[in-house]
This record gives sequence, structure tokens and C-alpha cells, in this order.
Amino acid sequence: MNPTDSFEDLLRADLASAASTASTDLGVPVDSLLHDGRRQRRRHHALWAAAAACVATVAVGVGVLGGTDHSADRPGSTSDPVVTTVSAFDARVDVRVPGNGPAQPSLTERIALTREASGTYRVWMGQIGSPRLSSGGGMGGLDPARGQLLTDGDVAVLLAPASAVEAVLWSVGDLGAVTHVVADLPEVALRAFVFRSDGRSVDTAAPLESAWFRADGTPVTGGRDGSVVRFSDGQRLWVTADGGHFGLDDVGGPVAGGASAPLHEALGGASAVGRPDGSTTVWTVFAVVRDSAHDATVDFGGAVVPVTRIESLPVPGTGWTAIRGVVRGQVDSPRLSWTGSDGRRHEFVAGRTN
Amino acid sequence: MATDRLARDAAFTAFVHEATPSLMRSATLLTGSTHAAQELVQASLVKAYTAWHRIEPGTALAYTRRILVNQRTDAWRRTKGEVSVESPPDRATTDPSTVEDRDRVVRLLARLPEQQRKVVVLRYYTDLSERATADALGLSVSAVKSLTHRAMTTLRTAYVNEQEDAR
Repeated sequence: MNPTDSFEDLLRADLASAASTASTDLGVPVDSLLHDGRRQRRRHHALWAAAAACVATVAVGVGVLGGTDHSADRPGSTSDPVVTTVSAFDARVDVRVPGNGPAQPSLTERIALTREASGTYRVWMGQIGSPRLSSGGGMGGLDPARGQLLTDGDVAVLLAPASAVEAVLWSVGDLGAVTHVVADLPEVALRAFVFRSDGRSVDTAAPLESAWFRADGTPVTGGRDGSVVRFSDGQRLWVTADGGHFGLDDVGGPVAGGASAPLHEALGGASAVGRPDGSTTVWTVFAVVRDSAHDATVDFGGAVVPVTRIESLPVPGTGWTAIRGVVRGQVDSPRLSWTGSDGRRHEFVAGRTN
Repeated sequence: MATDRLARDAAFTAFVHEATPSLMRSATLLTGSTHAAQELVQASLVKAYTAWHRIEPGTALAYTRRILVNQRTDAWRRTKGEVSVESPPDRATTDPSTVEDRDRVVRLLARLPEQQRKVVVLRYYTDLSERATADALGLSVSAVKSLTHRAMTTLRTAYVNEQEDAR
């Protein structure tokens, strides 16, 4: 037995010994896994229904893109991967995406498209110049008018029409700090919003959802226009077409990603967004109500806090009402209340699940 | 549809009971911590469930192991470069040298770069071939050979150094 064999045998024995004493307790009951699995399936199906037919063709793009030569694998398959050769792209862009310090260096995401006979596009995406294994791949059937969200490791790319001026990404899972870079693909009249999480895989935070915004501030999801309300000072509140999400512009950017939240069936939702305003902190408290609303007030548990403005405006085309109160000073548990169409008083407390 | 789901859930439940010990052992070697291993295996099994209809019969364990070794959990990242070794069982029959060996290999594994650690676990614990390891990690066989060589060189040196320090 040569020295290498001896060491390999020793290593095997040590690994087996360590593994034999490892806990085999999963930590949760199987029912919990089934529950999580079903929930992910439902969300996955809803989000990717349009793309499901294309899944079989995903993951041949890395070689095409000229990046690493790692072939992607299909579950349960041991056959060689399909390799597609594309001699020319109709559009291609390399986007430098900043990282989050030494642990997450910057990377270059390459996005390329070829035109399909149906007038749609096939998209190739992969990371180049990164030591990380790329999971780049291709997906067909991109309708330029609808846009498409694609993921690659800690990167998510929303391809939207060139007229899109803003975009926002959100997830039920925790994406951490998200930065984004915008790149144009003028040859195909598309704009790429390239988001990067702070290192966590965007797939593990799935389901991801996104919206892009027209120049007038209207959010677009799945090709459908949502609604937008502007309060008297110009601050925008937007609601997606399905009522699934809304947000409020923040001082730090045109879209309040942090204020995105699922609308509740009965009440809607609300959030308090801090806005530095000189030496005074201005809090904006808002709610979207699936009803008409009047006589809206803001209350802070009896504390005397001057309310600068309170407004309630109909959200066009929805039958809902947006209520917003602007309050000076640091406040806790702001409570919005209003009279609904049933003549009764209703309330929403920011931070409380309704 | 409901019948399909019941059948799927029953098959998946049986698979979880069967595969969890093996997956937990691999995950513990990869993460160095029971807690991180549990998170890793739970997340891998949930992913396997969502793809259950695509998994060919007889390949579920290999498929889930592939998810596991290609997944990185937050807990894993937070403890990268560190290792949390569980206390040895409080048994009179425990051989101290065995405990030391077990702790040693877990500790040394944690010092390896992530890909090298995965290759070592798949090749020398799971006993996968170079080809199967390459398939699981989405690498070429030559890349697996290179990673294996570098990992073994590092481990061999570390073992020798520890033996000399112990004298």
C-alpha cells in the first residue's frame, strides 16, 4: 500500500467516524416540509406558469455566452447536456454589478438575446469573470411587452420594455440588501434591471416578484398596468394590477421597495416610512383600503403629535382608497382610522398584522 | 388530483424517512454543525419536493444530494471558516482517540475552500466516482481531479503537522 492509499484510507475512516456520530434528526416533522413544499409549488407555478414550457431548454447558455464551460444538469438525468451554438446575438450587454465587500466581489452578468420566429426572444444569461460557478442558462418566449424576470445565483434580471423608468423586486423570503444596475439593450428595445442580493441566492428567497414602472409612475406586472395615486405633495402610492402589492415612494429613491407588502383581503396594509427632513423626522403612515373611506384620522395611542396632513384619495379603477398621514416627530404605533362605506369606524395599526 | 397529491406526499414522506440519516451525515461534514446541517437538509428536501414530479424513480437520493451540495445556507456562510463540533456522546465506552479523529477531520474540512470540501465529502465519504462527483457539482471530471488533488495535499499536510504537534 503506498502512502497515498494509506492517507486516503485514514481519511475515509475519519469521515465515516465523524459521520457516524452526527445527529440524524431532521429538526422538523415531515408535515412541516410538506407544508413548505406545497407552498413553494403553488407560488412557483403561479409565477412561472408562462415559462414552464421552456424549462427543458434552460441551462445551455453558459458555453454560448463564452463564460465557463460548466454544463448544467437536469434533475435525474445522467445524459450529456445539450449544447446549442448560436453564431450571433441580436443584442448583448455585459453589466458590471457591484458586490458587497470582499466576501462578495463585483461580477459581470452577460445578457444576450436572439430573436425567435414568433417575434419573441430567447434570452441567455450567465456570469463571467467570476470564480463562482455560473448557473447561466437560456429561456425562450420572452415577450418584450410583458418583460421577464430571470435569476442566476444572487442576481435577478428583470427584462422590461425600453420605456421602463424604474423597477422593484420583492420576495416573501429575505433578500437582504438589494442593489440594482440598469442597462439598455437598444437593438431589441429592452431595458435590463439587474438586481443583486447581499450574497444569498435569489432562488432560495423565491418566489421573486417584480414590477417595472412607466414614465407616469404606473406599475406593470405580468403585462398589466396597475394604479397610481399622487398625494398633494407629489408622493406616489402605487398598487399592482392584481392588488397583490403596493408601495410608497421614499425619499431615498423613486420606489419604496421596503414599503412593498401584500395587500390584505379585508383591509389592505400600511407602513410607516421615515423621511429625514432637516432636523425633523417626518413619518408617512399610509394604508390601502378595499373600500371607500372618509373622515380619516391618525392617532398615536393618545399622544399629542401634530399631523401635518391627512389625505384619502380613490385609487383609480380599483374601488380602493389610499389614506396617508404625514406626521412630524418620531412616533410609535401610528394608528389610521376612517369611516367606511358601512358607516362604521375602521382602523389600521402600522406594524400589526391585520 | 387529490389522489395524485396524496400518493406524491406519501412517496415523499417515505423518502424523507429513508434519506434523512444519509443526508444529515453528509450535511454535517459539509457544515460542521448539526444546526446548519438541519437547515441545509430541510431546504434541500423542500426543493426536492417541488421537483418531485420530475425526479426519476430511484434517483431521488442522488438528486437531493445534488441539491444539498449545490446549496449554500445563510447559517453555513455565517460559520464559514469556523467549525462547531458537537460534544461527544457521554458514554463510558467512547474511545477518546475516536472522538479526536472525528473532531480533527471535521475541523480540517472546515478549513478547506468550499468546493474542495464538497469534493472530499462526495469522493471519500459518499464514495462517488469522479464522474458522479463531477455530475453532482456541475463540474468537469478534470476539475474534480484538480480539486481533489489540492484538497488532499492540504489535508495530508495538516494531518502530518497535527501529528508532529502532538509529539
